[in-house]
Amino acid sequence: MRISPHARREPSATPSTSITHLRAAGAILVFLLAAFPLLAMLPNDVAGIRVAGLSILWWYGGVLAPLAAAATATLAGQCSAEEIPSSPDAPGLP
Amino acid sequence: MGAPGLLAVWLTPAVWLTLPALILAGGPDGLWVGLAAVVAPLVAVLARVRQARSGDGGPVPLFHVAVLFLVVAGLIWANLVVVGDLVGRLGAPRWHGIAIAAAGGLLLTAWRGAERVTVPLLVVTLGGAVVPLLLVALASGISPVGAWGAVASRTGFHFARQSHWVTEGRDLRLAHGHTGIVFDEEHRITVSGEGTLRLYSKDGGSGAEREWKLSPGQSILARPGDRLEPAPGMRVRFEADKRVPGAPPSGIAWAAGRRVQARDALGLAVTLMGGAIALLAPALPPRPSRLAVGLLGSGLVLALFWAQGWAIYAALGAPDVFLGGVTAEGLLDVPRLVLGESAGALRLQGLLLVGAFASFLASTIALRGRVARVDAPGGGEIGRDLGLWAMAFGGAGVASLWPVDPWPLVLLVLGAAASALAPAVLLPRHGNQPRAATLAGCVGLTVFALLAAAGSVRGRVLDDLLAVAAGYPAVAALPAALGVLWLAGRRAPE
Repeated sequence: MRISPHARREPSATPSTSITHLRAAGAILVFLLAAFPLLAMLPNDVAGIRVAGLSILWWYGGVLAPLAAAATATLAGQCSAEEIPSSPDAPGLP
Repeated sequence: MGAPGLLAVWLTPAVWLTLPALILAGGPDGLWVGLAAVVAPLVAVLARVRQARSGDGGPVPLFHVAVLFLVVAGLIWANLVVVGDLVGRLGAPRWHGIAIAAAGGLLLTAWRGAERVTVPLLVVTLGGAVVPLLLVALASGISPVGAWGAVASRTGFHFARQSHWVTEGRDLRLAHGHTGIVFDEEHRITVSGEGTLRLYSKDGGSGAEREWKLSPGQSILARPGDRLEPAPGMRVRFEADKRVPGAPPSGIAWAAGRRVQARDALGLAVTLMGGAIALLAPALPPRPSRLAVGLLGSGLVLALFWAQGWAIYAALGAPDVFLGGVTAEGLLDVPRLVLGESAGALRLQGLLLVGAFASFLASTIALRGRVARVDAPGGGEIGRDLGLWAMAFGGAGVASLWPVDPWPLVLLVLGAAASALAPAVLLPRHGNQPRAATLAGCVGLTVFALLAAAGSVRGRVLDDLLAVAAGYPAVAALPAALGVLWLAGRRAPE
């Protein structure tokens, strides 16, 4: 097994806009996740109200939140990655 | 590593086959696990982009390589357990499935072009999972949303008159999941063969065990609260129209779920997100394409939709799967329970098994590829080291002969990865310093191991104050490792 060091690439000096994009996207993903238990804890079983055959909780956790999370990561990941200088696919940290 | 490889690393059979079992067993609790399993890899994508912006390419500490290898070996272990359980469910010895799967995984190690079959294997997995679901849905004659509504409106889950547990009886071995058979109402149990049955009853504060030697046709009466002890090989019949022991009280209760415990929800989310960041983020290219991220997200969402569909149609047409607690391998019975004893149902069971095998092989290729990536200068030789992987597959194969619940094992492994490896991804500037990264990884793993060991201690103080840390040690170990990395990274000379 040979694990040899690589030259470290200098951090890219990029505008803070994409950092903001990343942070916003990360916050959205965490919010999408956190909203599920919060929804389940609402009083008067609001999450159990059925809309078009499914309860609000199942619509959210089973359909809407996963789709929204996938769309958010697809859009935000690419926007922010565009500003990273291209380089060989370095192995990085484990 | 592209989207198929990432999907194979994350959605191993121990994960995608367990999701429907968790949804079936816990309703919204299981759905929460599914949602976290979808979001966690997407968070890892963002973590990777952020890491790439800070600069890649610090030397890989040997400690991290060792932990990563052990994590991968642990995942192989959990998946061999699942494959063994599936094969055992179909009546063959467990070790046959374990041996074939382990040998298959090891053979692929020797093949340098194994990565090329990852996508075909995933296509086989997709077919093996989706085709049985579609046919079960068609046989049920109701849409997924309609099926959910029907399940959520049930007043209870009862044995059908045509159930094999009622008509001819089945081996009690097939009924014992993780919880045992505990009766909620008076229930007459009739034996189809000669043997001994034991019932554990709780009267007041004390418990008592009663034992009967029975001849074919004789029966015993279980009272509410009685627990039927395992009696492998004993064929028993249950009463029609009685509640299935282990099932939720009603469909309404299943759809509403328990009151969500915020601490458990947090623990699971941290474990899955930390595990995903540790396993997947460094495997992503610094600039993941929109197509790759889109494919990853689509695959994850599809897996969650499949898990929900399988759980809902199982609850609708095969309430027997609740008997003794829902297990991943128990869901293999769904085609037979819904479609009846037919050649078509057997073929669907076989198809699902083929899908699970294909998924296992794809996952072993991708997991080895993940380990190989830390040895890029060496051409990824570590991923093809036959001796090393023979040790991993052999050790995992022997360990999996001992039946364990694979899901806690997956959580344990992901928690360890989160504690030891994720800090270097989350704080890339500090993590690029090998000494600091090693120190943080050691601290994270030590805290994780101590809390995991303490988790088996059932003290009152532990239950009240540290339950979340003991149940999900990564909740405490990850912040501890991040703190150490931040401090060590600041002090270390550039």
